[in-house]
Amino acid sequence: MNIHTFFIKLILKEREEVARYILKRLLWSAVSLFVIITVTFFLMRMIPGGPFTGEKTLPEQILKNLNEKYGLNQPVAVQYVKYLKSLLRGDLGISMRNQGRTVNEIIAETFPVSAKIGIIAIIVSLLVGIPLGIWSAVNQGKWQDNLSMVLATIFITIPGFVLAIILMYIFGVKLQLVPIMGLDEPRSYILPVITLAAYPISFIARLIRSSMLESLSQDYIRTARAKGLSNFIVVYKHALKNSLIPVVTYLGPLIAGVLTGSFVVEKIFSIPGMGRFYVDSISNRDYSLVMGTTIFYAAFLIFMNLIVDIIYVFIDPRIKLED
Amino acid sequence: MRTDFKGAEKIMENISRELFVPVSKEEKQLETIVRPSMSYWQDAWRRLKANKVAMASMWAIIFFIVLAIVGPMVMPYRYDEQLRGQEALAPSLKHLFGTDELGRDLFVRCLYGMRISLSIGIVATIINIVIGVLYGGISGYIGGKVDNIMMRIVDILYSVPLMIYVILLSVSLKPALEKLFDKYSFLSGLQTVGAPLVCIYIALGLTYWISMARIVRGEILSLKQQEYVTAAKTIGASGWRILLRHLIPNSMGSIIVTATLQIPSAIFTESFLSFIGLGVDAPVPSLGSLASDGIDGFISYPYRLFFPSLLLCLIILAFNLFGDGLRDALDPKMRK
Repeated sequence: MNIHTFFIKLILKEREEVARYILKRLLWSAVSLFVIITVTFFLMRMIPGGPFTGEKTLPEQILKNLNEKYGLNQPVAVQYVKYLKSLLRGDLGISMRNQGRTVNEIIAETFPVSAKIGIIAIIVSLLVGIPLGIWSAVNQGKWQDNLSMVLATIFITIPGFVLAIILMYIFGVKLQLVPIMGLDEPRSYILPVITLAAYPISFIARLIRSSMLESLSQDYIRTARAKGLSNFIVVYKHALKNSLIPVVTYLGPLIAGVLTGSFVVEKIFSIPGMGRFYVDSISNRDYSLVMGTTIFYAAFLIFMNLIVDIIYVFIDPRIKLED
Repeated sequence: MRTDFKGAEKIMENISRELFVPVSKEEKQLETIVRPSMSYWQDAWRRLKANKVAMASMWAIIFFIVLAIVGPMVMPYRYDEQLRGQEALAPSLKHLFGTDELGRDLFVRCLYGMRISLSIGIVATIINIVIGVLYGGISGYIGGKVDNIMMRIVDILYSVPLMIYVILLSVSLKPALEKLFDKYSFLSGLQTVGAPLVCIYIALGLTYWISMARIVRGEILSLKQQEYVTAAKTIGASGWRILLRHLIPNSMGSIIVTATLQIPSAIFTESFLSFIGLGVDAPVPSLGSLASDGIDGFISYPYRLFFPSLLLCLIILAFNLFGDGLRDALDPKMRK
């Protein structure tokens, strides 16, 4: 966050405006969350037969008892209100296939694992993607630029699960450099993180490259050069500062991308994270778990987007608060 | 006025008559600086043709489409034909990509998978165009409160990654569709395509229109200020007519670019869905399901993952590069 602009905004009596903006965003986030909860609920109810009519047919009486236990024999509207009420208490329901476990327990257990890998992947993608983009822009049209852009294009094209398997085969099976399963030692983070970061790195590199090229062609850069400032200062202090703004806007999609990427990565590398649980719950048709995790994911991402938006207000003084 | 005229006459008197010579043809042509007039599309095509990467990817896309249509028809095996005694063969001249453990020719399966994957990309994109263009068009053209509400809805949908909606829709639609197909015999035509495939079409079509709607709205908002819209209004054209005949055709450039770039992302999403078990049902293959099937025996049979993944990457790459080229050609302002 840019403290400087923050204080300027405060001094210029924009405090109220900023507060109103944040409040408005908060309100819309709540509406978004409500919509996704409703959509999830009714989509899940659309599935014919209910969660207990699976491969093996249960005896009539047991089915009836189960339906009663989960409140499935009541009208949909009643179920919906009941579900909303329990959500307000923070209760995401009970997993229907993992006997006796609540969705909350499963999330509390698996989310930290995913979050750890996700945060490392986001940091890596920023630390590699930004310098790569700068390098590319500074050497525009030369081999460095071509090389990094070709690499970026390739990594944007390869689906995550293919990349994961290729990395696993080369470094895990053939060269035996890193373990291919679990997260028992620090080295085992390497492959999952690379897989997760490959797409964001490429995307950020392309983003930084184009915004750097635009910044470098601006008048203030010419002024800076005319003043006799060194190339280093001009590129890293003057041009980079403005070129980083698009990356802040990309932070929201970046978090979402790492999150969906975790479905694949955790399944392939057998990591006991939330992504794997989500995928498993889909293939097990554990509808209550799918519903609970979806709502958790949605709430998490909406919250993250909110934070990114607020940061954005402070970083870019040109942003209009009205929109 | 009169004095001016007199003044001019006076000047004329001072100029000798010899100076007034007819302009020769060559001189006349020297003055013309207009090039033959070119429509927007001709101009775009000219720019596109100059872009070698985009042209190469365009030919690659045509090649893939022809291969996907013709390939499975001319091959001696069917995609679900199990050749007894030829199970799990390595690539050879007889089976270019080898066979799987059920004795199915992987080359034919890849070609057929390409057909499915491309159809997903194209059908989902067509649904996107219809919904997105109409939604964005109406929102942008009417403007005001309606626009505000419609765009708020889009914002709300957009706050959660589309992949989550796609997964939700796939999970819930699949059983519903299967039941529907069993119940009504007149839907049996769709049955041959398969409920899972229809489900993917719908799930992708119903979600990915959001970015299209945003882009079209932005275009329409600026286009509706143009004079020709006012002109159309004064001669009594209806709102629908202005929208469909004037505004949307004029924003076709960005619609086409967005759609072209959505095809690879739909194919990409399908492969992701196949991987997490929401893709097409066996024995119908898609490139994504072939690749995710290939993962199981990857160490012994690497080619089973390699070939479908390579085709998948090439198709996505070709569409991405072609889309980038199209954007440069149709919207030179965006070029960087």
